[in-house]
Amino acid sequence: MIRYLVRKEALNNITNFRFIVSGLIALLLIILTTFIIAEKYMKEVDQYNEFIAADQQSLGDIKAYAELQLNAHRPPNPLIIFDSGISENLDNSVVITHQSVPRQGLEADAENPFTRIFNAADLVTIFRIVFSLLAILMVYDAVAGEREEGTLGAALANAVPRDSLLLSKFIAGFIGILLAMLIGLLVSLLVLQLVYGISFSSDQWLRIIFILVSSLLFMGFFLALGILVSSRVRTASISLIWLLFIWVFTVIIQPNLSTYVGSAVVRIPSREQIEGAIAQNWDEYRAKHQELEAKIREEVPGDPWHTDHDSSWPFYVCFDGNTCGLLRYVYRTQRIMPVFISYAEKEYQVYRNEYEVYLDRQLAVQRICNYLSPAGLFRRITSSLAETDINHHELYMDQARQFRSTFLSYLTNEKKVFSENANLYFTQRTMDQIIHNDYEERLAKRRQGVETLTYGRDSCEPFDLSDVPRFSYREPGVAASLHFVFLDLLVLLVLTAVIFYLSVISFHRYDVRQNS
Amino acid sequence: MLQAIDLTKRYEDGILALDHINFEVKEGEIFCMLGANGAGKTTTINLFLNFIDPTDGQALINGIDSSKEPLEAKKYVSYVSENVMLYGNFTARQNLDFFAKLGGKTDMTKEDYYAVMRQVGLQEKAFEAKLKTFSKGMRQKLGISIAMIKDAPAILLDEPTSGLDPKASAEFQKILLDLKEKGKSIFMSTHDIFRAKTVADRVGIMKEGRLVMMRTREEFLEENLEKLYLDYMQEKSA
Repeated sequence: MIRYLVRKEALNNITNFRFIVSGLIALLLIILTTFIIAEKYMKEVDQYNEFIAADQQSLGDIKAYAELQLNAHRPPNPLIIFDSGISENLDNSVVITHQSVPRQGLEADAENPFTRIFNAADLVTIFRIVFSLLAILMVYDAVAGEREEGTLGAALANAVPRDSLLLSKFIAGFIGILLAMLIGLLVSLLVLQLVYGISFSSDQWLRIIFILVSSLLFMGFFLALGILVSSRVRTASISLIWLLFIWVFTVIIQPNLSTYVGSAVVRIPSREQIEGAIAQNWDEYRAKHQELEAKIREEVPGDPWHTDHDSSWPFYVCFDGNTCGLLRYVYRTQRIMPVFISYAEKEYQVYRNEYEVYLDRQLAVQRICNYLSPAGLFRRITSSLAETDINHHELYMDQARQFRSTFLSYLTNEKKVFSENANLYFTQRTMDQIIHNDYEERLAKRRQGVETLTYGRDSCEPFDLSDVPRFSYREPGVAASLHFVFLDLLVLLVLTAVIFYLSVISFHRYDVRQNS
Repeated sequence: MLQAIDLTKRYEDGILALDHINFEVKEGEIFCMLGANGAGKTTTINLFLNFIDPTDGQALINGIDSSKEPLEAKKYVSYVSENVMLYGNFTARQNLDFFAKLGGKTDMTKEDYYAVMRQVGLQEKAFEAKLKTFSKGMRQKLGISIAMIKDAPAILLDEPTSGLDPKASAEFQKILLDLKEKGKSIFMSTHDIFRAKTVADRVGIMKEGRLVMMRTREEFLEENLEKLYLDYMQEKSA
């Protein structure tokens, strides 16, 4: 029985003028969006390749460890075409240095950077807005419209179970949406492959399939909702008005309401407060620094002389100088720099406590509010699957921070830059050359017109840094991404099932008579 | 085959639409229910189809209470409404195919459908035409062909000739008599006394939810049905 009902409903749907027109509009939007975002992605790829080449080049010209800083680039993600998420608002490159811990930059007014109200257009946005409308258009008259036309009575005059009839409308709507989505997706993938040569890894294909499944689940919600409303009212026009009202609330207002509720419930400290707390950390450091510096000056008295000197703290380099100048730098590197590094790490803790903790709480409130918002759930699910959400950005930042630890260990333990090889931090002169220094003699000769100062930066060879650690972003598997949003998926599924169940109950009591 | 036992329906707004109606339509019998608008004819049909639940009494189809086992009961009945409304985007054959399958006829061929449509007098060119292009008469004929293809032992007809031209009405009459010959039990609600007189084996007159009169063919031919009907209607207005 259900087979015949589904076949009839599906045929009725796909031969329907409004389905054909709205499906074509959706297809056009998908094609346009694919071109726009593919262009953006290609630019990101070019930029990424330039960054990698520039990094390689700069690594070949490091002559003191103070000059060494690395970058942790997150490779461009082709899945932004499906869901750009919050990727537009965040950096995908962070500088890795021993002197600071990577973190998300503060926004101008320390607002939550992860909750932009309007996302960039992408395929999922089209699914969320256009296809959900399409789903409504397919079922708004499923019950009330058929009652008005008299076909509902004609069908139910036969031995047709009401729940089978309703289920067939749901399944047929699903088939129609699936068909429209698959065509859109196929065209989009063809454009990506044939025009831009963009291909996907097997993991990404799996993600695309899950995005499609989640999109269908979201459409299932609107199909069930459409059937429910249609089985609660007497005319198709009233059903449509109610559904459009609910759609505006659910798709446009409700997800953004979660953002506002989150911001209202959890206030993030102001930029001034956060910067004040960070400044206090560095005030503490400065006091310690002065104490240690005084001891060094006491221990190494004299008048420091340098050449090729860049003292912009803490990136100081001085390739040549007299014993006093160079020895003081050795002691600074050995005694002050580890303190500086510990305060840089403390700075991150302050930032975490004053900003990220509040941000996490705000996001948690938003997430709770989102459980009541199917569109909010859908957005979270797809951005997680596309790896463009906050969780994946945090994963990247965590990896960047882990990489910084590796880099620090490289400097500290392998190269012993902050202990016995402290001279290499700022010069290539050996400790012996620093202590038994002829700088002042060479300076005197120079004053007589004889060039003897040959230990400057230009006279040094670059380090062999073939053993320096390199950052490589480890993409989490689909399972990890699904784990982030498992509950969201479950809630969306339950919401859809509950709405459909309510529509079955409602339809069992529905008066199917045409002229009632 | 069709039996109403103390069938009563009071709507939620308190209106008594049917008041303890009793009748039976036997195999090979045409029962015509006459009555003014609002007399309860359509309500009776709606109760047989379980579109509404009775307040009291039973509507039995083949001995099955349609309010208790509606799906089982509806296997034995076909229905043609006053305005046969089918799927406008589908052709006549597609509509017929769909409703045949709902009626449990899953092994019909295109030729079977064409044969039934020919039988009810639909023109060949209409078989594969979309239903939205059909006139009311054509839709009524298709409605009859749907009832015929289901081949149920009982048929409920709700003012099936309303709005049909005389030729179409005459064709319809012939079809009814053919169905009767095949042993179908036919319940027809109608305003058309002339048609009732021509085809009915029994007639009933409903007034304000009550079955006020029932006559066999011999009786109503003898007593002049038009006069009987008018007398009962006048009683109402009086």
